[in-house]
Amino acid sequence: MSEAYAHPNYIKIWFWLLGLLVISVAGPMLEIPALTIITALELQ
Amino acid sequence: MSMHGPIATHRSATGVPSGRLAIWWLLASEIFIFGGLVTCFVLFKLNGTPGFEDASLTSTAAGAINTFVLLTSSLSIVLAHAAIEKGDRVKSFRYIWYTIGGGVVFLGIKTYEYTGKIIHGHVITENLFWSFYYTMTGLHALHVIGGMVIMALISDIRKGHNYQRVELIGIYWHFVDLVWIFLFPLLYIANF
Repeated sequence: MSEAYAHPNYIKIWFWLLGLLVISVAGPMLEIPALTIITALELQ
Repeated sequence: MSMHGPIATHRSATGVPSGRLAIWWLLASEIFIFGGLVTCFVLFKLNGTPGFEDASLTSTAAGAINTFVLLTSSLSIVLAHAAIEKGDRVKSFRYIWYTIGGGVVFLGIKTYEYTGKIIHGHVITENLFWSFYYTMTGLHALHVIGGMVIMALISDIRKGHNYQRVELIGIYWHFVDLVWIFLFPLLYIANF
């Protein structure tokens, strides 16, 4: 394989995803509409 | 990268290594399976089908922990791929088994969830929501088990065989993670 696969930001991406996870759970739990809209998966 | 192993994984009539082409072909078919289920679920929910209010009975905490576990296991399989690209077989082997460990934790939490639900009478035949819940999460769990078995089988990279398989199982594992990213909000957050 080549250098094309080298990517230094795996852990940074992982932190970003965890941040999105926290937002997606916190929005509906805390009943904060803005966060709920951000998660955009409220199907009610 | 090692060029040992079955010729089919290196042969490249299309310009894409056959192994990689095959895994994307497999995932394309998987998208239809899970996509069909998710689409039906959303349509039934939007139509106000009775029973879908039971989504509030699923454990958001358990789902969130499982999401964290799968995201972390996706990181470890990426690190396994990065390690094998650098020729570090031992490190890659270790990360593959961390990923398998993530799968074990995921299935343990899922078993805990299933047990709690079944004890309280929420079985697959109770209503349409639980039918979807068990079908989608069960099918997903089977994919997790399949991925774990394959990862255990390919961990012979430590002996210097078939390095490309780490990339292929990585692509598959990301797909399994991605499917869960759809199931989690649908089954655990929506209708909170």
